[in-house]
Amino acid sequence: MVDKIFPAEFARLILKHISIGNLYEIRVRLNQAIVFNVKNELVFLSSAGITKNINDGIVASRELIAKIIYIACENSVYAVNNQLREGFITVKNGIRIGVAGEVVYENDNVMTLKNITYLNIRLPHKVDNCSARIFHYLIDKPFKNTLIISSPGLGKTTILRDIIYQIYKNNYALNSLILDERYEIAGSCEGQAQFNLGAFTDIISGCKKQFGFEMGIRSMNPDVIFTDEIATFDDIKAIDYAMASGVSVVATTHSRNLNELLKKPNFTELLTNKTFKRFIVLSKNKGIGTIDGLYDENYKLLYRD
Amino acid sequence: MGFMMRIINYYIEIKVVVGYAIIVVVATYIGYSFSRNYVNKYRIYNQLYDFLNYYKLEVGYSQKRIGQILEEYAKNNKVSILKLEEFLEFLRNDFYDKDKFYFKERIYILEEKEQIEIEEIFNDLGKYDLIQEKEKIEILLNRVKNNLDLAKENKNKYSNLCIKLGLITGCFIVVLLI
Repeated sequence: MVDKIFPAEFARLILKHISIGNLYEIRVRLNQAIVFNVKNELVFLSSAGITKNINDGIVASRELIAKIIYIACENSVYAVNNQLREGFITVKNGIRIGVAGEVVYENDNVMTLKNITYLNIRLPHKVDNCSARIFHYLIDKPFKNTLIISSPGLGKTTILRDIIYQIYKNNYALNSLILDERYEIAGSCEGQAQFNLGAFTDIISGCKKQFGFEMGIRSMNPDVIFTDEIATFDDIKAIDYAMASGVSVVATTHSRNLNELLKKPNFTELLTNKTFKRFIVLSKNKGIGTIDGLYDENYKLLYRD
Repeated sequence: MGFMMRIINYYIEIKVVVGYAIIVVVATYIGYSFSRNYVNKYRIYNQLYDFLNYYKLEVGYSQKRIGQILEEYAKNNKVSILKLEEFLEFLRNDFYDKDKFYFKERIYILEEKEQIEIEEIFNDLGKYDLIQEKEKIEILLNRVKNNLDLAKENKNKYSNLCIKLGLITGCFIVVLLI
């Protein structure tokens, strides 16, 4: 998996000392030691192995960062221009590289990023059946509109992915449409999903939510739409449109808990109208992906890990 | 006895004629070999120009990855005088290890400077964002077009000349021998 991101020699060093199954995230910053998140513990890598001493860690050079980007986009930077403008690159196997540098504007529009010097490499993990214990609370005719809430990096996308798979696994023949704006849910590469999401799934990748919802509903006639990270007023409008069209929505959003979500002005109308029938709140109380609470539309607790 | 001598004389004459013919053919072939250099150089630049045009189209339209573009181009152009397959192999296998692409064996027809220039073209492909990449291909196309025009001019001027010179030289040697 890391050979799709790093130069061969560096990839070999990582594979020699770190188990990929335990590696969650890699932070690469110019002229700073590369940080590895191994099972939520931050460590560094020296030529001798893993170390906790930052001074021993391998330092990221400008050349290394450039090489990582070239490898990630298969030597075709132009092909990921749209992703770069959004601040990420999607690699095979569903790996997502968040990028930061200088933003180039033209007529107030973001044209591209230059001098990319910060990378956040997130390695996806498919946790089989992580939603199985709550799936029966969600499935209904129609599928219950569900919002998955948590802070970043606590497994929203992983649980969303598993819910999609559970539909297939439990033989609910619901046409599912994934609106994968940031290529994170299906991790599509060259049009092919990098995760097994079952046989009832269609995927629209790299598309703005509002356009994706309209196009998807018209062209694919879905029963449920799955999407990631709703935040803006336009996203909320798109969800309204879907629900008015009789399509269920399962989405994720960043928020620490329900109380914080209620304070977000964009969500006020959605919550007042009780548009979402289920809220899944995640935390890391008992490890990443802990279901801190599954609530109904009246915020009554239905389940907790 | 006289009959036998006449047969032997005929045999010797035939051998001499065949020898002369071989001299003419060899000299013409040498001229032809020289002419192939001009033809092949033209074909190399022609293929490079053709590939860059194809690449420009795909970058602007489908935005496929460079490896995919090369594969599809190779499928439609079985004869690769430019050694595009070496660049494709570099992208598939050596790209993770090595920083730059070099021809495994030099394209002997081209001068060293020209080969390095082509390697640089390959090494630069795909390194820029969409707008810059399109602009860069335009510049490369202009440069390659100049080389192509020069190669075409040289081919037209010298390739036939080389064959003719070979033939004339062969004939001249034969005349000298007679």
